[in-house]
Amino acid sequence: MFEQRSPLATHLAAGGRDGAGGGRGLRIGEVRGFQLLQIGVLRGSGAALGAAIEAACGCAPPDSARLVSVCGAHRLYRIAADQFWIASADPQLPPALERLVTPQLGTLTVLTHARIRLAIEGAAAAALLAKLVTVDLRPKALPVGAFAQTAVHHAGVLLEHGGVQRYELYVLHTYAASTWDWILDAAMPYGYDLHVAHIAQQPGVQQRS
Amino acid sequence: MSRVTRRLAAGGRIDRQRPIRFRFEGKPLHGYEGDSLASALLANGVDLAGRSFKYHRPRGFLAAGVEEPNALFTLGEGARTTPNVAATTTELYEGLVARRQNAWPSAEFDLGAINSLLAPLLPAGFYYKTFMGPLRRSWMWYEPFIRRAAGLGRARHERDPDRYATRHAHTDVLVVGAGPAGLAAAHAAAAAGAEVLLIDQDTALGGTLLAAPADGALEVWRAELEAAVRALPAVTVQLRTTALGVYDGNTVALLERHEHERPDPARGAARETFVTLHAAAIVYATGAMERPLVFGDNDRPGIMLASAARTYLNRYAVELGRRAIVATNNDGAWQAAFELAAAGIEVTILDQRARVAPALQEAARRGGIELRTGASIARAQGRRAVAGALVAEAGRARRRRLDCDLLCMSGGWSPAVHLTSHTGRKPRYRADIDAFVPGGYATGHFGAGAVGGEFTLSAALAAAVEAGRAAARHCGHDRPIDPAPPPPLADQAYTAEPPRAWPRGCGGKAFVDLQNDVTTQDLAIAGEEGYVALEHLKRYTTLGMGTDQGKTSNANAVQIMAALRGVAIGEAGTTTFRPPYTPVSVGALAGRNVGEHFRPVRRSPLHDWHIEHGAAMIEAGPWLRPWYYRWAGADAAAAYVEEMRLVRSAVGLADISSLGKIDVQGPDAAQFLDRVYVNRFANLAAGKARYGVMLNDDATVLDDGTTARLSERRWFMTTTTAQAGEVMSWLEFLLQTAWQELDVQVVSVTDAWAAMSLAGPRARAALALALPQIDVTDAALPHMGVRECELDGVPLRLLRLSFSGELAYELYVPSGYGIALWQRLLERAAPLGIRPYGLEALASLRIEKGHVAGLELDHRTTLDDLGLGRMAAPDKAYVGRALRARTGLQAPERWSLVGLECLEPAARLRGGAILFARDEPLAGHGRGYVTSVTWSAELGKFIALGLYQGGLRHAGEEIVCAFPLHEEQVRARIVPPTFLDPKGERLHV
Repeated sequence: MFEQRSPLATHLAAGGRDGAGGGRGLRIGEVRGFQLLQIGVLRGSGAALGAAIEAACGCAPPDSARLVSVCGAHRLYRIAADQFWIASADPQLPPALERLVTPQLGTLTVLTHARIRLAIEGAAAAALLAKLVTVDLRPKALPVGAFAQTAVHHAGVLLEHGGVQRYELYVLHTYAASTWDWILDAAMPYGYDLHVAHIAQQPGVQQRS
Repeated sequence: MSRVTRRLAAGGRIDRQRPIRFRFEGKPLHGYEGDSLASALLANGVDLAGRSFKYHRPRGFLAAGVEEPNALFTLGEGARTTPNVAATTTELYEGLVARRQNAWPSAEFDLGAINSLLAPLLPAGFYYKTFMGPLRRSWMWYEPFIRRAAGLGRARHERDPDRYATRHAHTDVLVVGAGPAGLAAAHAAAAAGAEVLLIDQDTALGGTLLAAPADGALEVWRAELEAAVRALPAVTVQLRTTALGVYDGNTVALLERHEHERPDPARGAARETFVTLHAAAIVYATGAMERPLVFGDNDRPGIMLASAARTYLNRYAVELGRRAIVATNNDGAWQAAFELAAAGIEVTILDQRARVAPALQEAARRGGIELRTGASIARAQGRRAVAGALVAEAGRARRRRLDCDLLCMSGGWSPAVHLTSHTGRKPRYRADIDAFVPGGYATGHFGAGAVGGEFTLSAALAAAVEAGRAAARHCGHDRPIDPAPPPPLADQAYTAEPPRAWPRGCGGKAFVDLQNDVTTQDLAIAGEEGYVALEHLKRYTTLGMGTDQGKTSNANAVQIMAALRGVAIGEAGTTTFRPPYTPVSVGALAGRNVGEHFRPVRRSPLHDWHIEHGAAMIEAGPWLRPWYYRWAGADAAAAYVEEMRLVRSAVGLADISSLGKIDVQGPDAAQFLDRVYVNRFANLAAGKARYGVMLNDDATVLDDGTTARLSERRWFMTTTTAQAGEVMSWLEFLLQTAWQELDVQVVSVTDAWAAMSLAGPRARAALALALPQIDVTDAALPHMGVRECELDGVPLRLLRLSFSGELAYELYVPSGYGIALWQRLLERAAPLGIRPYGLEALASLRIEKGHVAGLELDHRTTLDDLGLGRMAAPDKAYVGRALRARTGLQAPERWSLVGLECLEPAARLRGGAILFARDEPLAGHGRGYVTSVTWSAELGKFIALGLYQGGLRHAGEEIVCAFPLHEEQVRARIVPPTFLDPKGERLHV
């Protein structure tokens, strides 16, 4: 049986550190156990493809390129006019989409291993993010449930405002360790705890360890 | 250094309960919280700030803010040394260490002062004239001596141990400056509904109000106004923050200073933070700066701006003298005179204007101030400190001497138009206030207060409220507002008149730019020599350069040059204001992008295994890749040869995850690839791969790689490591612009797949041992065959192709399983002698085989240069086809790919060596160069690939490879580039 290994496996062992004021204002960690798929719309098949996605996920692909659509265990992002991401805790989603998204309808690319999902939460989360991305993080510009495609230290990321004082980043696998170091370096003044969160296979539930 | 104290017994905005110890010139001194370094030094009796730039004249403190030209000190010690810091903007903190600069052996006794005696030899532009000869490069010889004789502080070479941060911020309205106008504008904008960021470079809110008596009515109002602003939740106040520059898109560069917090870098705290702010609207409330008067020896310590004297008196409770002259040409300095007199100082006002507002005259009389109108200073008296002044009075030929120990001057006020000018708008002159004001504002930018020429408090506040509301409206907020607290005093109109005459021949030096030691005489010389345009004047005389960027000199220079030219002031023009507004440390600009964070590092999914097994790593572009493995040798030179032997004789495993990988799908994917590559792909069967080359528009080679057809509509493209990003962008560009009719999706999957190359005559056997459930026989997986399969439920892609020239396979597995597959291959194929091999061997093996790579694909070589011209399909279109036929690209003498064999057993070839024909002189650019070189274990000699004029038409010729850096010349022979197995038999074992 092949064992899966995160590029952050050795980095997460560090545990955490106190900030300049002695506290730990952040929890920074890796979220594991998700599937990530990119779907491309072929010409003239938008409606049919939308129906196929809805059949697989329970909701239609979003019109907005700014807000995440959440359907149970599935999170849908419109990342371009004709491209979607679906991040899901459901391991059965990829085969289901492969059945429904036929080559005549659209394109399907598995990106599960292409991205590492990071979670940053805590009172200093927005302050930390401001040191990492150019995005306007004010709630009126990036409310909870919104996402943006940007870059952290020159490497492309998808940033999601996952909750009050919580952000998630989908970072490139091969830049993950470098991005992680960059984030922790920026987080030093605030202090942080490190953790790994495994998304449970039940829709919408996360377990932390 | 005097040991007197000039601190008043009471008053000021300092906290006398919080004394601060600091060191100056090695001696312990103390000040109070709330002091600047300048105020603390003045309070300790330090009048001599240092020596001037060129003439080494003694200088004092001219100003109390960012405009200070003289009082520049070196702060800190060791690696934390920072030169050229203005004492007037340095907040005093416990343990601060400061020293003077540009003097030897000391500022009190400076041998450099001999320059003053040489002044007649050192006029404006003297070095242009004096040091041009006698030889062409003479300046290079003189320059170090001149630089050493002049200049400011010295930077250190040690690494700065402090941390610097960068961040981004966004706001609706940025208000720059928290003086009365800034406070009122921020209040108005926030009350109208906008989110406001109010910044100020100072340590407290109030701007010029902080120079007013700390127990007066203005202070009560200032506190009320501050409270009203702070009470608005939409306002964020940031002190110790300077707006350095304004850029396109309402982007503003801010610098936050945290030095006062004594930041601990070990805990991540930054000394300074560079903020990139994006504001929907900007209100400039940057105020105005007082100008010096220009008269003989106007640089003596004890001569300062009237506004500075007021600040030191009221804000810092420092008594600067007992007998003061206040010389002015405007109303602004009178308040300073009143307050100095109220503090018990004997004051004489010299106002060059014949007519002054009666109310001011009456107030002066009430304050016991001697008043002389129509009077101005011709020359200051005193050497180390001002001791008096020669006064010129209207209708009186003889100059009268007045004694003083403090000379306050005011030549009018210059609005701080720097930031508004960053948007490309030149300031314009307003004669009524004798000042340059912004020449307009960009869309969404507004002016508030003195920056717009509103020099009275009531007018400034009215303008500020309107600016704040307009800025809010620009952001879509237009709520009715409650007014801010009104000021307690009714003010009167501000009047000023330009200086009537500029001194020349008044005795002594009349300085225009104190930081650069530029005098009226220098300006006159420049004018006589034709440097009358302000931009030329600046460069010829250095006026306006340096850390202060001419904040106190530019306006006077414009007026003097206008007078010299006989034109109106508004016609004389101005210099260009550029960021930064105030000096910024390089550390702040670099932020955290230093050391190991200088740039991001890209790591293979197998990286951890390489590290755990002692691989020597090497940077390759953004990637960190295994260079060689310790099993093969202690250093690269030994190891890569051993690793090559392994691959040629048994089987090796290399990490090739850095290859670009692109998923190409869609009904038009085959046609798309046909257009992208020079060779045909549409006829490739599913389950097969093909080597392809793509060109740039100009027919130079963009990249090469292997692309596999996974199914009718799905392709798996690989690119070189170096060009992966560029190829991906190129494909997207073509689909989105040139070929919108094609229905194709491209997705980068470089990060999705770990990749490894299994190469060597035992590669198939190794694969069979590691993956027994997969049929890897030649029939099932022939050369250039592709298989998609699963291994323990994990997807696996197998491509049989070779970079090394040996039987080889590329294995692709989801990145998270990369190490698992890698370990399985090494463990199960161990009986076959399998070992990992690194980048050096990988690159060397391909040289033996004659495969081109990044060093040959340099965007200058063409398909034909590389000997690949026959790949191009003659009957289809592809990018670069049209320009490929250009005469220049088909010229037979183009530099083309050749192989090179070293003919000298004891010598080596070197990459970059210049190639010459055997008997020609070794000069110039030669006939080509070596692109790639390696020691060939197979051939027992150094071999290389190179580009040579005429290419293989010279096959068999002996040439010279010259490497001038080592003064080497090595003989080599031109041979075909495929050194090994030209028939490709090894691929089919």
